[in-house]
This record gives sequence, structure tokens and C-alpha cells, in this order.
Amino acid sequence: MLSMTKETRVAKVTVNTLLKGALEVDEHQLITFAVPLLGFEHLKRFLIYQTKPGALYWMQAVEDAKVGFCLLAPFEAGLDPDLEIAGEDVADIGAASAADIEVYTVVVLDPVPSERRTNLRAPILIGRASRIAKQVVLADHRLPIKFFLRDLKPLEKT
Amino acid sequence: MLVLTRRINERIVINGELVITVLDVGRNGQVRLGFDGPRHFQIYRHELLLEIQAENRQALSSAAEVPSDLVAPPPAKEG
Repeated sequence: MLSMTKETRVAKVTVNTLLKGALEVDEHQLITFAVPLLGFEHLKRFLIYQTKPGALYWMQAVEDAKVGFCLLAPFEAGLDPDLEIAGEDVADIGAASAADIEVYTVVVLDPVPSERRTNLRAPILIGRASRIAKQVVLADHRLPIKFFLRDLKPLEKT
Repeated sequence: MLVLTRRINERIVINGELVITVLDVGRNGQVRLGFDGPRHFQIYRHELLLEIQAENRQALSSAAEVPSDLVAPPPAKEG
């Protein structure tokens, strides 16, 4: 058996999260923004984690425990938005092809449940292997910045 | 801020790559601009970026108080 100790040793990082306190994660679970999130130019590294199975995720800033976002994986939620991603954006996140990209959208958990919404115009793309992220602004103006989650049709059970 | 005066059909070139042409100036104060350049220039109306920034900030403040139905309850203790 080959000894791969050095290569396989994964650095552990402790991330203080908004919802779950201190979490110890593998360093490769973190993502790094190539272009910062609009309005959060000082933060680059985030952890994506879940508190329960489903299409909702949380994105926690590594550098600031108070900065956390709720994300939706639209394709897992049964949404099938037609996202035309520019070649430059694919290159920016170090992805080889569209299949190599994870897509999340930023969720606003409005105190009024019917106002909870997500931004389909500016999804967060992550290179599956590179772990490099970017919030892209898509050219298609029909994609709503405010897509209300109340309009999510429950997945048809077949 | 650099200020240049241009007339209809006159152009501005940025970094030798991005060419901006004044297409029309309406009496209502609207100016139509045309952009020609490589695709790596991502050109947006400023308001769109402000709107996305505002929505990101809303998302942040809303995540601070997460509705309990969105987070799994802690595992029940046995016994």
C-alpha cells in the first residue's frame, strides 16, 4: 500500500457560524470569491453548509461570524431557470464546463413568509473542483431579482 | 473625474479596447450609448448593481433571525 500521508492530509479549519456555532470543516469545503459579493467586498472566504436536508443552504463568512446568508439550490428546489452563463464567468470560477458548476441563489428570509424570495438574476456560481465562486449578473432581464418562494411549485411526486 | 464633451456619433475609447459611441441625445435628457468591445467587459446599468447589492444586504439581515421552520430542530435526546 502506498503511503500518501502528506498528500491526503486535509487541513481542518474552524469556522464560527451564525446558526451552528463553531464548526470544524475540511479546508477544501471552503469557497473563495474571485469577485466579491456585491456589498461585501471585504469578505472572500465562505463555508457552505446545511442544517437540514433539502434545497436550502447557508453560506457563512469565514472572516466574520456575523455574516451569513441563506442560499437556495434552485435546481434542487424544482426550479429550472434558464441561466445562460457567459464564458468569462465560467473561466473566472475555474470551471471546465457547465457540468462543473454549482448554482445557488441568495435568499431573503423576509419576516413576512409570503415575501421570502430569492435572486435569480444574480446567482452564485461555484466551480465544483476549483471551489472558486462568483456572484454573476446574468444578461437575461426576464430573470427576477425578486423571485418569491411562495411561487415555488412543490416537486411532483411520481 | 475626467469630463469629456462628445456629440452624436462621436466616440470614446477605453484602454484601446472598449469603444463607447454616443448614438442619440434626446430632448428629454436621455442619452443613448453604444458599447463595442471584447466580452470580458461586463457592462451593466448602475441601478441594477445597486439593486442586487441592496438585495444581498437584505439577505444578510434576514439570515440573522432565521425562521425556526427552516432549521432542523436539534436531535432529540434519548431517554
